[in-house]
Amino acid sequence: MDRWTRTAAWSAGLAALLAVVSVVAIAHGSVAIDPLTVAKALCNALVVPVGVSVEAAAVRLPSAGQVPWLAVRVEFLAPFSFPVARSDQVIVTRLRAPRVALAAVVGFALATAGTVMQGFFRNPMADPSIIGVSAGAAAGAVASIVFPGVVPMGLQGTAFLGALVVAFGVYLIATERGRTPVATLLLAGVAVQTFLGALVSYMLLLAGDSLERALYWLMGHLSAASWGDVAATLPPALVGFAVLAAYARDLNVLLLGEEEARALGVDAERTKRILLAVSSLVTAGTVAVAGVIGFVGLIVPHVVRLLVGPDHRILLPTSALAGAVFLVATDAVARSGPAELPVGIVTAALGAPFFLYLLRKREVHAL
Amino acid sequence: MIDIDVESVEVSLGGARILEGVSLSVPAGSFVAVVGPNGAGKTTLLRTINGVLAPDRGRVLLAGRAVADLSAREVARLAATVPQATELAFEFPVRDVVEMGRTAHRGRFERAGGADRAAVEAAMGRAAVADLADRSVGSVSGGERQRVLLARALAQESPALVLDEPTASLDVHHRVRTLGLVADLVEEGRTAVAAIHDLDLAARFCDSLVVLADGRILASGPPEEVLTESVVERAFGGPVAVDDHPATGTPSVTALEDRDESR
Repeated sequence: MDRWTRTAAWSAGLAALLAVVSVVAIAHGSVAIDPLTVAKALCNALVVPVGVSVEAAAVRLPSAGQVPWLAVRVEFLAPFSFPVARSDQVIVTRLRAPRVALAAVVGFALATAGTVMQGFFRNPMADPSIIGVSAGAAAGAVASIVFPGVVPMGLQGTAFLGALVVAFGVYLIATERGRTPVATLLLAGVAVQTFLGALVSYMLLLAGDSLERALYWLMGHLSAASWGDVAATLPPALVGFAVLAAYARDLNVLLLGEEEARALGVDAERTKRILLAVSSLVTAGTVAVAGVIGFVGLIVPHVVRLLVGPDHRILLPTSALAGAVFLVATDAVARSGPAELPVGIVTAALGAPFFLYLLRKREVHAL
Repeated sequence: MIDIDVESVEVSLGGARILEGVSLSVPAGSFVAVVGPNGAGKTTLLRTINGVLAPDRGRVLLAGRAVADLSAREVARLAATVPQATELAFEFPVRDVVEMGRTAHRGRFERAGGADRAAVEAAMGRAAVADLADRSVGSVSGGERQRVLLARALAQESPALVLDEPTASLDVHHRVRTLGLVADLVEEGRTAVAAIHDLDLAARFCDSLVVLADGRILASGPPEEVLTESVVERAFGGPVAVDDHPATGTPSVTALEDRDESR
């Protein structure tokens, strides 16, 4: 089978699996809804744009009076209207679907960034946060929770900004005369993460009443997900994925080492900058919304690499989709106990033993 | 056809001077061997030629254009590199590794076209790795891997070849075959510069030799002029005997035991 067929087959299979797992995850909960009803309710919520009309209109501006304007009106049509109980419809589309969708987006993004970081660092221990993105987001978020008056921005904004500032800082620390050796980057990332860990611990000591909220954020969470969260995380994840996928071939060449990549015609430093910036953005976008969810970005690429091989042209899309499936499934587990657990606990508690099993059973020590 | 010019290149790595005022020119369509003892700076010299290292002083010209001013992609289209047998401990099929040689010829969104596929198949044929095409590169032997790297450089279709110990992990027959192949490619118009450990093989296949010792060029010229006992003894620091090889008629160097205890 040639590579395109294989990529398409794996991606289609994983997308179908994602759909099934999502429907089951939505069906599952304190009020059980049968999967068929879930599917119907989701279909009911589906709208497709059927027409675009443009008409002349006028806008009133205070300075210029009436200004001619073109109003674009998009007409939507809901193609399905299955009979579904109103309460079921609300539970599915307002409560559970956004959470499952957010889990899928976050899993997709973390697995994408993790795959790229492992290839980039040629290091099986690399994960999306290796250059301090999550530590920066955590420091920002905890600061915003513990000192609500001091930090001018909202929680998510502060976390996002913290993530990017730290990633960029680590990059600058590791860069000398236009070159960024990956070993230096790795060590700088570890040192900065340790430092920020201390800072976060100290802030937690001062946290008082907000301690519980801060800890909850740190553990990674998808509860209280809204369609707004999905709308905020999906575009950067998809755009970032598209950019990284365009560099899949360069990532393969970089696996040979930077010198060889250069001799083959890849501008290693420039490619590294782009890969680092885009995967940090992708990670920051999800961490800011969902907190620090560990292990997805580390374990999913390894498992998928066992199945499809190291070629990033097939590894990247399959990893991303598998990450989505994994997080939707673990989040369903997280909320099925008597008390809901932060999903970060479940990904680590389920992921780590499985990873150890793979480590013993087959060879997950190389890229 | 392009020529390679190295003009008074100086390179320091980690505070140590590796190359000192090295100049050499490889005329278009010739095969030059860089020989010398371990640590003489052969690999460093090749790394400045293919633009991986920027020299502290001096410059390298490929086809008259300064390597420092060219992008990685432009350099790769002028000179293909065969590295010292790297580990390649990963599971890419041999064909995909050879296809990486096409990197400098393909746009980011371009799928492999007919020209790419033809170049890859031709390169695998010439380097005698076609029968390994679907095997994982991690599973082939050291010698086969070396030929895979040669195939990758051939797929690059660059007019110049830079080879770092291309025969190091090959058996006797494959050494001769590989250097014969490079000599054929030079015959067809490519320019090649190679670091070669085996002086006899260098003398047999190359148009001229450059003797590098301690970061400086000790001698250069046609093999029979360069491979004299005094030059080789000075470069390698031990007694040798140089003869014409009975089978090939080219100079042959035999290292002798260093019996002088005072040295």
